[in-house]
Amino acid sequence: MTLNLSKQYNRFSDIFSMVHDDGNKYSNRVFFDVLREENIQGKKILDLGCGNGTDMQYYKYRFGDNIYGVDASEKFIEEASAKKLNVSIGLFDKIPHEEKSFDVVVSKYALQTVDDFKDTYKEVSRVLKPGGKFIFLTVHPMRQFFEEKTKHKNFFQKTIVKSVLFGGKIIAQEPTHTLEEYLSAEFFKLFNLEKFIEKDDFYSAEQLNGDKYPTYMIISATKK
Amino acid sequence: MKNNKNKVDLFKQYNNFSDSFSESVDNDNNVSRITFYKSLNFDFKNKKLLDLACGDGQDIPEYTRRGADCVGVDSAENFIEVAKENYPETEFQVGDMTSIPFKDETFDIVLSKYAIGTAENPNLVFDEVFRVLKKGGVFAYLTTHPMRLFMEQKEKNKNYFEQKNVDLVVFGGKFTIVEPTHTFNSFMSENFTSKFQINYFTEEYDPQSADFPGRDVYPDFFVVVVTKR
Repeated sequence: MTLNLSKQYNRFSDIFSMVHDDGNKYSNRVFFDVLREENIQGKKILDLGCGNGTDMQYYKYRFGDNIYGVDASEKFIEEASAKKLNVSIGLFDKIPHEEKSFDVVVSKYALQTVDDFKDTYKEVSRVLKPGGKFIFLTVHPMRQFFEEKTKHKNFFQKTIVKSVLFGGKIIAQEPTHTLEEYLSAEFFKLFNLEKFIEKDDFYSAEQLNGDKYPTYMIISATKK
Repeated sequence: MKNNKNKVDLFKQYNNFSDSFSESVDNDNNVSRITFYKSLNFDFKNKKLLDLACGDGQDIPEYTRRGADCVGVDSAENFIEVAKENYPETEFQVGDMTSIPFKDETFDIVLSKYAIGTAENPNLVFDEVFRVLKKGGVFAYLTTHPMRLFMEQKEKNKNYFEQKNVDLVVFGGKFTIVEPTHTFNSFMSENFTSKFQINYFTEEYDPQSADFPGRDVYPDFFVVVVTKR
């Protein structure tokens, strides 16, 4: 399941590239602000789920040349390579890099595609240097719950939910997650939680029931 | 904050039904109690423990059994009277969570169940807990899940990020309590994470705490266990 969901972006990589920048403009701003606060200038950074490398170009411009990317989609990696970026094909639970090779691992709107974070957390911790930072933005569990749209929904039951992105231009399928899956015992064993931020961005996500609720969250942590 | 005419009443509201509340808690509060006790996975032996917003002292026997030297604090005088009668060996005091009547670094352990959410600003409570806790001391709390506070607002066009008071039906409709809504962020602010290192988090559905036949299943409460940095 992990593999297929990670590869689904192959199908719409073209249109994705066009709408992605504009569509994520609010959450991008918040995420990039968090990164800038961390003083990661000149650090060796891995973008996990780098897509076509759009964010990596920004990171290069902001934080220096030591930027690497990993994505499961061959098409995205092709596109990113064409931009002369250091990217490789790989899955989150099998990162094609040596241990203790990065100061920072960042990940934006990607972790939610993973079924079980346990192996991803282990892998991120493995490739991070001691004291290294793991900063990720992911879909908020509450948003996934509302996107189920059925009656008698169960927050705790894992299903595949269809997320309407960028005003219907893209429909992504992702496994639902609880907050506890993100803030699991495994997570706290490996990382020290420093920042938690939750916000809404209905420019990129569908707003349901006329309510205002968090659509994404950012977690910033240090490797123990 | 909107719709909040009587602020103090949120802390004191339990005075009005402390008698029947005690009975109901014993019978119906099992899921949260079991989850909370299970989360308290650390040593109690000879530790100085504060039960913050202890109510009628229902948790004191468990904490004492585990070997802690307990103190109970609650803002409702009626509860403290009952607690003193029930557990004459234990020290109880009337006091607010935002102004705990003890000196700095008095306790090894601070525990609080279904109480911190009654504070409009949980950080005021966290600051006090930080003050009375010894360095490296443990703090664990259980509180109403922000998602429940959001889901149980009855009106349309709800806003998760806007604080307001919400009626919560507890113990199968026996009581309605009023609590201010909170975001998860307000429990996990930088003020909190800079003072405490988080070691454990869990969120649970509590079928006994509310009675809405056929309602969606979502977390009713969460538990956090931390150590003072």
